[in-house]
Amino acid sequence: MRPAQRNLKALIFMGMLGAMSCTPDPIEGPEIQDIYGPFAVVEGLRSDRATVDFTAGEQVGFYAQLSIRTDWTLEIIGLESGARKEIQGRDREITPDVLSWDGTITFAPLFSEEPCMTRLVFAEYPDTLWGDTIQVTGIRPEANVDLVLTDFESLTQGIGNFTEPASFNQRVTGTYYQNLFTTPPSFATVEPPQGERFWVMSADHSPANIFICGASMLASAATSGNPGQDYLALGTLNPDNVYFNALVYGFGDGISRLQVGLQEDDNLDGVYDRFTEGAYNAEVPVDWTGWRVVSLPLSQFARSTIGGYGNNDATGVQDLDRIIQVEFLLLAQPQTDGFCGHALDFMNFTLYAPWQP
Amino acid sequence: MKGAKWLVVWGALGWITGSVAQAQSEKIVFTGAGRSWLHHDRVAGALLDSSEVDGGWMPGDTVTPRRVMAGVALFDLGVIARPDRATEIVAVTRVTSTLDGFWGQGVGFQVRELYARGVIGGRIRYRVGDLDLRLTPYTLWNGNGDLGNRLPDLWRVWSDWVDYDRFQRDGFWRQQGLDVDAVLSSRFLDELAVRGALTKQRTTDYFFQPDRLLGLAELKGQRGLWNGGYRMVSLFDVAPTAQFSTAAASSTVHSFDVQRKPSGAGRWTLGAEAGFSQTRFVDMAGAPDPGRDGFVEAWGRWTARDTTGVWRGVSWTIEARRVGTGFRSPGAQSRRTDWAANSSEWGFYTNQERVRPLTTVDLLQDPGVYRPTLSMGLQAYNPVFRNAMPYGAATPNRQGIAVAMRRDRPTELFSFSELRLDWATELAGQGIANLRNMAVLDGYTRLKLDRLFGGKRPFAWDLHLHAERTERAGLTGLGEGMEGLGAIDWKQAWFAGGFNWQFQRDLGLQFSLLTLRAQGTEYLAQRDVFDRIIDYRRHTADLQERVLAAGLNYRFTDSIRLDLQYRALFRNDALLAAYDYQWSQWSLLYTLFF
Repeated sequence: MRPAQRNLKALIFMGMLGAMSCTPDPIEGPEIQDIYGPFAVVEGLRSDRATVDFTAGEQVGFYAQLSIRTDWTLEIIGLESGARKEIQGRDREITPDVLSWDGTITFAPLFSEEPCMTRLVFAEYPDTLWGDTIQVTGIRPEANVDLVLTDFESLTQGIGNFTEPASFNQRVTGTYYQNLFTTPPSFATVEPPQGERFWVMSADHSPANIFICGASMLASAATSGNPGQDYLALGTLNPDNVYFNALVYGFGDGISRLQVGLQEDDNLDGVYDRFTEGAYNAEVPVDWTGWRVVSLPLSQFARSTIGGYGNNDATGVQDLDRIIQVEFLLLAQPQTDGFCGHALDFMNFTLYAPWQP
Repeated sequence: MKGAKWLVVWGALGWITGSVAQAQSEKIVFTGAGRSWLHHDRVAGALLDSSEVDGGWMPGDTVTPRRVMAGVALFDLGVIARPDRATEIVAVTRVTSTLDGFWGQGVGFQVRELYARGVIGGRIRYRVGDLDLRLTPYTLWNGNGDLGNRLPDLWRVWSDWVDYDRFQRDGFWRQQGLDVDAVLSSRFLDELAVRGALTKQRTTDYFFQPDRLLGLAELKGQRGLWNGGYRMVSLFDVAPTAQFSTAAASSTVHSFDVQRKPSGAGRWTLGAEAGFSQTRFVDMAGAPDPGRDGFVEAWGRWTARDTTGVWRGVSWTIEARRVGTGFRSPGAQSRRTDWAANSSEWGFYTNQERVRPLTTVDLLQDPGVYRPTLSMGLQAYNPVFRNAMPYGAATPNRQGIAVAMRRDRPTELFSFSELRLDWATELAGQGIANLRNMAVLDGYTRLKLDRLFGGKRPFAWDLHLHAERTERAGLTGLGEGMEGLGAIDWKQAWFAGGFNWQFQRDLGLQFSLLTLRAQGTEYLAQRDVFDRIIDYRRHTADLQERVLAAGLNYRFTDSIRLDLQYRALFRNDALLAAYDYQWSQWSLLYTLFF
């Protein structure tokens, strides 16, 4: 063996030894006992202010300390209006940096100038931490939206409804009913969260029916923000930057599903052809009671998987500048029967951030 | 064995590119490849039946169709144009027709490949358009196939097609941009080569998300028995391309390598590669400070002389490596498998239409579950398939050694064999001071049984085993509820075996058995957008997949082939037995190239 080759081998061997003998790095990431250790409350829930004026841009921050990282939900409930805000998190040390309230809602109606109770509940533990009552002295200004598809206030707005299997549709002043279910729960007690009217879909369905009924409307018929346009004028092609928003009422039936479909006119001939042009759908299980704000980025809309209903996308990609029609459906969980329904209001699109009324 | 090497798809690809050399005198050359696939699928098993789970009643899946008949026909047509002796333009178009659509519907037409290449001044080569780029396993390497590349012949007709379809062959990443290289003269070196490339990874949305580019530079030299080089690969955002944001990220790797070939009487080839990465986030809320970490690898390979008796055709390799916890190399660590994807065949299951977890046959048959682009951060992986080194040699937070043996005697019964053993440990514990210890065994052999019977009808067996074990001790002495927390004991094994018997001149019989087994508990790190670990997901599995397959293949000519196959996948999850299923499939596959 030549000296040069011997020296190189020795050098590589020393390098290996050197590499292996380096001091170990410190622990990477959070400590495992902070996530999977025993659960305990180290410090209870408290807020950083007793009164808040949202018109002045103020926010309420919260503090609490837990022994582990676990899924929690902060609930803020208006004691007069019944408005409800839910904020979810998974932090061990709760500070205003990770948990603050800006006056927005999760469940309609809007908060008024009223006292609000606060509590922290946990997904995996039965404990509840009760916090301070906060007095709202000024409500949050109305949130902006960029395009209102429909608020169901106009009786002449073009909305095409359809049902499968056939059933009757009824259009009643004050509220649009579709596939009206005539026995309780009654809609008479449901207050519109915005304006005077909203859209209801419901049925008494059998296990064989997953699809109950639906409706669709052209982009050109949008209430505001889209004048003279055949396609939704969203201003960007990035689906991460556009949010579909709506107020959705759940009856607590636990089996209702809302499906929203964005139907594209891929060949720009002015018509959506369900056999050859793409439809991108998103589905929300409506498992709550009351009016709730639902916001979905358009990137969560996936190409239809139903043969002959938008699964063949001529362009092969989601085209935000070719959405000619929006469809909303009432679906039921499979293998269920009985009452199934939900209601919709103020369907809109926002850019760069979800709608936060 | 001739039949065993009959790789139709690669043949097609090779022919498309290789025909350039065959027809230098022709200005226009047409090339092409095509396939037609008809299949009939059937699903059965506990998934479809109602069952009792944890004391509750779980209804069976009534949504999933029990039987499906479908198919696709596609055709790639390539045109190679040579306007002059130094320029070549290649365009490949694809026509696809889905056979289960409506008549006259579902036909797609797309440009699959387009590039121009040539030589400037007889010294500088260039290629613009579609590029195939590859450097080293630490800088730019598409080497993260989750099933490896040692498959029985029956499955090669599928996996080769997937690799061809996604341009993910031999460690190359398919990119779009410009690639330039030149050989320079040098007084001190026998050869000196430089190379540069710039490609686009992501397009701006004009508002907040900027363009993302990949740039690389390479300098290689050789003198006598020595060769080595420097490489730089950078994935970076061009902030001004987004109008309303100045946020940008970049990740750059610098690497140096040296290699010495054996001298006249020597048998050792020696090499080493070392480098470091720099990661920066600019104007991004909550971003960490710039990160920097390195890697080092050294290896030696002993190769027997051709005439050395029992050692003939044998080589041994020993390796050692250390890859820092913060080492980031998007070109080498990006994973091709997208575990969040849904398969194009029966992609959803259960009454809730959940995305069906990908199985071995999805990875083998479906090009749609693979990603073509690079990722700035570490992507999710599935420990059922790969756990010890999920990002290949560049897996961060690893140090270890490996020993490998290779034996290549094409004319003997054991015509080719490989055996590799890896031992590795972490540099930093994840969430716990104790470190993971990992062992990986990977063995493959190709048996030519026809050698026992005169070798008239090729009869070749492929046997491949990949097994991993990961262990970590849990916490001790911290009191009730903490004892043993964080302990890991994860075992995984993948076996792929089968034969190809060419019992008639143009007719072959194939058989294959694939098994995948994963068992134990692991903690999978969850990372934020800056790649920092923020959580761990405890992952427990007792999963088994078995795939039995048999088929006949008939060769009309060397460029036209017909395969008739039947395969059955049995998926059993002991922790979620209600979702167990069997998925069988008849396939008729017609492949041609010209």
